[in-house]
Amino acid sequence: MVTKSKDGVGEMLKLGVVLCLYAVCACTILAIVNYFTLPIITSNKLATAQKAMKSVFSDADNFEKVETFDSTAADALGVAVSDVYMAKNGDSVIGAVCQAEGTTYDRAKIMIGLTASGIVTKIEFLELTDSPGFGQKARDSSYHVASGKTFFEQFSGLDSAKGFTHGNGGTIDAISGATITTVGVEKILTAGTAVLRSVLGAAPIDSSAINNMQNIDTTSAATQNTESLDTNSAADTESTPLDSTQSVNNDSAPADSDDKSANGDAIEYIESAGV
Amino acid sequence: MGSLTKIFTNGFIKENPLLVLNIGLCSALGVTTSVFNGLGMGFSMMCVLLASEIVISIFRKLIPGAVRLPVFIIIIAAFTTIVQLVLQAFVPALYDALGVFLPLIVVNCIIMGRVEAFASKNTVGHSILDALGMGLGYTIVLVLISLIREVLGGGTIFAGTPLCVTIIAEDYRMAIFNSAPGGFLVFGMLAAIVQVIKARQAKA
Repeated sequence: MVTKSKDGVGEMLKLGVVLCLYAVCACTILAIVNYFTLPIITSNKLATAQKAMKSVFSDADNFEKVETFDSTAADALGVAVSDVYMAKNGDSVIGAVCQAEGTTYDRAKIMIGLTASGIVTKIEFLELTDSPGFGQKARDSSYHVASGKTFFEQFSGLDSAKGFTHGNGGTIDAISGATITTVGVEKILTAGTAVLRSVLGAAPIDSSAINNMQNIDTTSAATQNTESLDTNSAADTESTPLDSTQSVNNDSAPADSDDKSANGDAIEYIESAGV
Repeated sequence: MGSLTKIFTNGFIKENPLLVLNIGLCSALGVTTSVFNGLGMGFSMMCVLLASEIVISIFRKLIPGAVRLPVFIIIIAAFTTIVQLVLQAFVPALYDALGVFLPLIVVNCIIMGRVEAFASKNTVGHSILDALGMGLGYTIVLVLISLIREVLGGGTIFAGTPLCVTIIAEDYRMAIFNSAPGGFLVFGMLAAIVQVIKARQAKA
């Protein structure tokens, strides 16, 4: 290890060049690895999406891509909707499918199926990078919410016109100890179904539902100081350790008392919405 | 051979990174809710540690002291990204399960600590042994913590794999082990056991 140091611009430039060389070598190797893995990753994602499209809309026998669609509602909620397909049985359109990606505790990408009458057929998580044991329960088939269904199953058969909310008077049950993930998924589904309804020519969702969702901030954990370098923020039901008494700044805050564990644990987790 | 064995076994008990040195705890407590995740995280960390120690040991005389830390970070970050890409391509289930903890391997104190304290001052052979010892020590502790937390908290073993078996019925599971307090409890018990073992070894 070279430890001798000299003063002078020349020495500083030399150090800069050495650092640059190491960075260039590292980037070159990364580019090579990416070159070989990118096709596999892309085909994995495509295969997952195709399988998910058929699994969220089993009645359809073919899917027709929709090239242009109105994404105003989705943009307002900060959700990216893509890969919109009309689900067809023969020549008749029976529904539509899309992928919607947005912020949960980290990020989630969900495939949504909607019938022509605005009923959710099924949803499927294509990607979910939330905390294991908490937000990951959203796609866990062994985890059941209060109604006895898995978290993702409970959306099947819901009328998108009625919105997706948890708590008192809500339409779904939240994940115990992972309300940020629940709210994020509600936002993503509100945006996705709004786009699908416009594509199918159904009546648009009540704008108050969009406005309510806009007031909920599910800024990605990756951009917050409560990132999981501190295990308490990742493992402690997605709440900041010092902010555990802050309430979620949304209409469903009073309903957080419903978010108890499946075993009736009386500990109540209140998340901060954060900015 | 004795010194080589000593280097290799150093990371198991005497200088176990988690239970004795208490470094790299973030990921250890964050992903150990299932054995599959614990094993995957341990294996990923060991790969990055091994590759980083080898490269840094090879180039140890060509890394200026004034910029050694940025160079270490570049090398560790590169290998972490490679592991990420490989997992995403070939084991997408594990990639999804580890989530944000996979890129956080870059700032895992164990890797930075070992390259600074050992790889940058020792030969490639010794660095390989050190990386394997530390990586295995880390992985074994991760699997132990995961096993206890998954069985008591989740009631299953090997959840997320085709080998998943339910051991405890849902009504009798202790949810606390799925969250941070349970993780710390298990970690504390294991750390105490290691201290007892070390004390007895010192007396002997």
